[in-house]
Amino acid sequence: MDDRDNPDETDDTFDGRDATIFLVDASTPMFEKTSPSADGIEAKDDCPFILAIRCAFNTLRNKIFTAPHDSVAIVLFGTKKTKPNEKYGVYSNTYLLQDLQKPDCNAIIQLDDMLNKDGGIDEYVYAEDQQSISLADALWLCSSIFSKHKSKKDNKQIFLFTNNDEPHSKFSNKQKQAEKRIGDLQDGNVTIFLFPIGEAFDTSKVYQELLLSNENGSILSGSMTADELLSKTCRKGQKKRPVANLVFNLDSNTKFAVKLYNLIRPAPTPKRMQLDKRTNEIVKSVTTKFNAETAETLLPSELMKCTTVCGEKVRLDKNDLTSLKSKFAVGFTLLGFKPIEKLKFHLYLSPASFIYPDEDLIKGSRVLFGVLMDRCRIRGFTPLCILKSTAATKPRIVALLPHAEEDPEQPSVFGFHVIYLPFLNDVRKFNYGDLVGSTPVLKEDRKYITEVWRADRDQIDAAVAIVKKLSSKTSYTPAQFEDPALHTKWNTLEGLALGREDVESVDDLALPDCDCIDRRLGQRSTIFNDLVLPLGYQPQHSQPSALTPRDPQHEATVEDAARNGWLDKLKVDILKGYLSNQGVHGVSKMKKAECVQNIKIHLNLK
Amino acid sequence: MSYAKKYSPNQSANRPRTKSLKQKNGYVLIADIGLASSRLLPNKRTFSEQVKDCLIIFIQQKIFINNASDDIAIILCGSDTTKNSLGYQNIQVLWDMDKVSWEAAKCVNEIVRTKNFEGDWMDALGVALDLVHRNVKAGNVYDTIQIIFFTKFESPFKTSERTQKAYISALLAEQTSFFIVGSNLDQDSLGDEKKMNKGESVAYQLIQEASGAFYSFGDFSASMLHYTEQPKLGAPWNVTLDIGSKIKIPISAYIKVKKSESLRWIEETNTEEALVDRERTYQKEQSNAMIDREDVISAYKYGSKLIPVSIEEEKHWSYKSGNRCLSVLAFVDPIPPQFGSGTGTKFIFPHRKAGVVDRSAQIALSALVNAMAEAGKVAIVRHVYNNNTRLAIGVLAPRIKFKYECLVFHELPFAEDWRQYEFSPIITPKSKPSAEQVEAIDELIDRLDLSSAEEFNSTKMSDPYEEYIRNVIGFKVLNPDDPLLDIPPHIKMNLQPAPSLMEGVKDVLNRIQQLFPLQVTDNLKAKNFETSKRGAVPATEEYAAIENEAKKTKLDESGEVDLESIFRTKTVIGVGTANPVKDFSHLLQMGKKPVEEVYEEMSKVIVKLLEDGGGTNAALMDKAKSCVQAYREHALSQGHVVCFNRWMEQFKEHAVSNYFTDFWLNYVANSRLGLITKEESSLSDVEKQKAEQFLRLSGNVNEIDSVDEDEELLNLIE
Repeated sequence: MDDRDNPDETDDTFDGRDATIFLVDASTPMFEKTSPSADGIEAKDDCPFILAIRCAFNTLRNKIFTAPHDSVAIVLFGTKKTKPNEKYGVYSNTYLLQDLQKPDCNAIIQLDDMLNKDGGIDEYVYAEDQQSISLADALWLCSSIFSKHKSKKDNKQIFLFTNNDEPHSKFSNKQKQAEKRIGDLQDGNVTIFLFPIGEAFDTSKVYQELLLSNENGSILSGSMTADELLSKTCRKGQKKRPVANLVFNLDSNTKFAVKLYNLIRPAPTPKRMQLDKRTNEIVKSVTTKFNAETAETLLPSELMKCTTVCGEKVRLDKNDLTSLKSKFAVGFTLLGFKPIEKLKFHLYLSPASFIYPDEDLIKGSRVLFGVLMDRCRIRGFTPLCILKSTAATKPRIVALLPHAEEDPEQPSVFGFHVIYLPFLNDVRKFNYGDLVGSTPVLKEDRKYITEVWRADRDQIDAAVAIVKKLSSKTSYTPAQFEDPALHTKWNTLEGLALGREDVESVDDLALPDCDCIDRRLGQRSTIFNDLVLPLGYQPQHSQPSALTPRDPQHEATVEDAARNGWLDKLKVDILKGYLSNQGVHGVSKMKKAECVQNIKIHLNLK
Repeated sequence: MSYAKKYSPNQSANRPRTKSLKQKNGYVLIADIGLASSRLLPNKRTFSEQVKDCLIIFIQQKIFINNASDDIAIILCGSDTTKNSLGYQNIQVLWDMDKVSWEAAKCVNEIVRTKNFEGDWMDALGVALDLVHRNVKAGNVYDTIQIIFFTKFESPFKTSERTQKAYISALLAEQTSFFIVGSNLDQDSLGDEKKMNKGESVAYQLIQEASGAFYSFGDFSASMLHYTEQPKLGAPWNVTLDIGSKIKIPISAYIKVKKSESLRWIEETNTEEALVDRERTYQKEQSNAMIDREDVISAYKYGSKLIPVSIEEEKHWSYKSGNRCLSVLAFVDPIPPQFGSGTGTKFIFPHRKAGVVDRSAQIALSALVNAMAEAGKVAIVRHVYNNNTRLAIGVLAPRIKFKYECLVFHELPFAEDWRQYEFSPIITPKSKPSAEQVEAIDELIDRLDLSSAEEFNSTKMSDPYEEYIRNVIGFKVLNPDDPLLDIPPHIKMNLQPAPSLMEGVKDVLNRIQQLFPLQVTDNLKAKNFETSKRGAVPATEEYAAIENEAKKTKLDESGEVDLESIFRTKTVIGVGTANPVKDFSHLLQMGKKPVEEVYEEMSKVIVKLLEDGGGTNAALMDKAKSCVQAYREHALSQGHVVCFNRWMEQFKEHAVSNYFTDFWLNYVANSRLGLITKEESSLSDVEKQKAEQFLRLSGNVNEIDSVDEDEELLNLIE
């Protein structure tokens, strides 16, 4: 994933691509619509098969933007129709819906049609009798798909969707075959995730033995609703990849190893690229560097870095400059322990990281890490460390926040959050006296004490009423707000690519519902306003006009002003707005004088 | 200026303040470089050397902060020169009160060393006080004034009660602090007549009456060098804090925390000090054919499909975040610190315009801040910095202090920014730790408990990397030709626990080592091996071979590196692609094959490596580069220069015609592995200029990252 902070986020063990096969049960039970649940909530009109296909559909739609180099295949099993394939041969009762390939329009359209067209799945509906289902064959097909797959380094995984907890009996021949196939797949480093559908799914019948005997297998808890299943596939689709594997030094002799993860980093947005408009060929932009005086082109080795400090110019070799950072040792160094409440977490600096023990570098790390975390959590201490995460980053002071959470609905999280603390230079010093108003009060000992203006009890109570009325019962998790800007972009591009007429609109969850808030507050807001604000209060500060500076209405004004020579009387953002409307580049960095100059040039005025 | 200031009991606030807000500090540094300063300190340096370092570091620090606006004066005590307005012997005003500058540092660097004279430290202090007095009289306004005296009080001096009284009143008059650096007094012996020498006790009396302190050299670098950075208030972000449509509180938000910016570096040519110009051109990805800018359109990729989208079109359909706002969505329980996003923290204060705070806004905000604190809630808000700029979700948390009340804002992540990985429990019922293990860790926590200590309070520590780079620059200014400085000890000190503290936990750590079996695996050895070698130029073919082998194992992804295999010797019959440099040197050493034949094999391997990698695989190109390097070095040392140069010309042709230009530019040209020149070997007839020319490609190109693209996007958002 792209990371703006640590560009060199890589891991040595694989090249970061996933190859995923959606192995979907398509036998009779999968087409039985779930009956409305007991508590009266109308269950969605989807059968488990549709749910599974929807998961695949969502995964493809997501991956096409976030991981375009991943590959996805969809294999149905338990079908009457077998689709013979030249590449892989014939497997009984399996149907290769989509071969392993990078996400693309056709695949998405095919699934879209299945899900949204009337009778889209009719072709695949089939009631074969239970006896003919062979999990082994389906798995065999999967392994031949993987073995023919070109990029061998991909992280291979199978997502198995079924609501049948007993495809064949525990001691049958078929079970033995399936066991063998699973063994083969797992030897080939294929991870198998079972997504059981329906709460009644009894994993102990067959699957537990099949999958849990091997460390690569994993069974997710049974899911009932579509949302649950979708969010689970979505989470499994996220690539769990450490940013770095680091040594944690208790002192120079005692060390264990950790994996460092970034759990919160800005999601990458689709990247703009350039095309030749005549041929639609991809064009790359290339920058040539040359000597400003002699106009000779320059090699990278002919360049130096230079900075001016207090009138003195300092030149350093590029490599020397980068080597300065690498003089600090990479890894964690323990400084000591502080009680959690003593840390200034309100001075937030940058998104946190997360560490988990790494047995691959140092054996035994797990136990030491575990005890350290446990004791810190119980005693309310946080280890304070110096962390330098990669060769290219600066050393920073971090506080490690122990976290142990096991929630059946959420993935469990055990480890330390790494909270980056600001240094002296990162925190700005304020003269608080200038920022808040206060009144000097004469005290008994004839000294003046400044008293900061504060709200009185009634005013605070009025505010408490508001806070309580608008308090949400659920606590915040990042999953609550989707980024509307990103989803608008995704949906629009998808619509354009697939030639859709109308684009799915995006719900802006981050838009306050003023009507609802006003309604809930009722009289409370008026009471609050009456108590804190003097009669007829007009804020000194007025909202910026809704009219944006880039409004074309200003164009005439600006041009008029330019001709009459009083451009410099206009506001700078109006000038900038005008320039950027006219397609002039680099407007944001211009000073006012430059703007005026540029407008004059633009209008050919002297 | 706020109304309150007029009544402030603090006198300093009554000083007229310049409108420009550029407050400055004044420093008078006095260095005793008399006869006694030749004495060696425990660190094997003389007192004067140590003082010189301190002076330079001090000046350097002041250059980098507050836009170098502080004033500094330097006085030498015990100098061979006498230069001061009071006519005191052997007191030299080396640098009169003036803005800090590199010139001052250079001057100190040149002049400060032990002189065979003695100066009266009271005289020197008198000169300093006079200097301060004259400067303040001349209209200079200082926020603080400090006199910092580096001395061991080993020279004779004269004093009288009258002089001391005069000095004290002079110190008090200008609110000058007086610091002594370099004496070995500890806290206990302060004020104890028997433990102090005469000079020290006089100085101690002065400090008692005025203000100041005694510092050892160590304390000086640990505390005095820390910046006294001036308050820095960025431009406020003015908006109303909305709760529904009825409640609107005008506020001003100020950045409180943000990663400090490093120095700005620009590119220059290495030969003459010419600036570098850039030109951007467009080329087809496949054929490298040039394209006019007008013919370039922007597009997005959707699977294999390309969707042309102009910037205007995108502007039309992209998400509109609406007007600038800070609107409450809901109040929730406090959010754990790991859920932060964005680049820093803002403090939100009542709206303030032209220095006047809106009283009603402050009362309203105060009510809200207190209400949130009482209810134990924080607010989730929608944050749009300016009309239609990026939308962010953020949190407002109450902060109540004696001096102020405010809301603390930082951004929160969106669902897409959050990766919900699963991390399974570390301690399982199967792996319960023993009581001894728990006890040992508890003891470690107890012994390294920093609860009461001020140490490692990050907001009081300067950024070690920034500090180091400032040191390097300072060193470079004073010693332009010397190699770069290593990390100075006073910075290293901040990167590790106090040695005294670590000494105390030695036994606990030993016990931990015994109780927790920790075994370093080969993976870590391989990792360390690689990092230690990375960036270092291979000293010999042997090294290059090891490096390549290590890289190869990395490519093979076996996950486990067998170090044995790296050093294992085997019979070599020809140069192979697996380990070419080693094979090459081995074959040449054995001498069983004619040199020409080995060369021929090597050149084939180089071409093969490039072809295998398709001219883009970095690991293989690296390997090929070491081959070229080995080849060149051997040819140079054994006098096969002509042969090598002939091959080189062929090779360039081959490389260029096969689009291995990347390899040529970034590996061959960058490491200057081209033709062997006249200067390098007398056997060559190649001029240096020709060799330089040879390394270039016609129409030299470097790919750039998408900086400009970002700028376009920024414009778009705005």
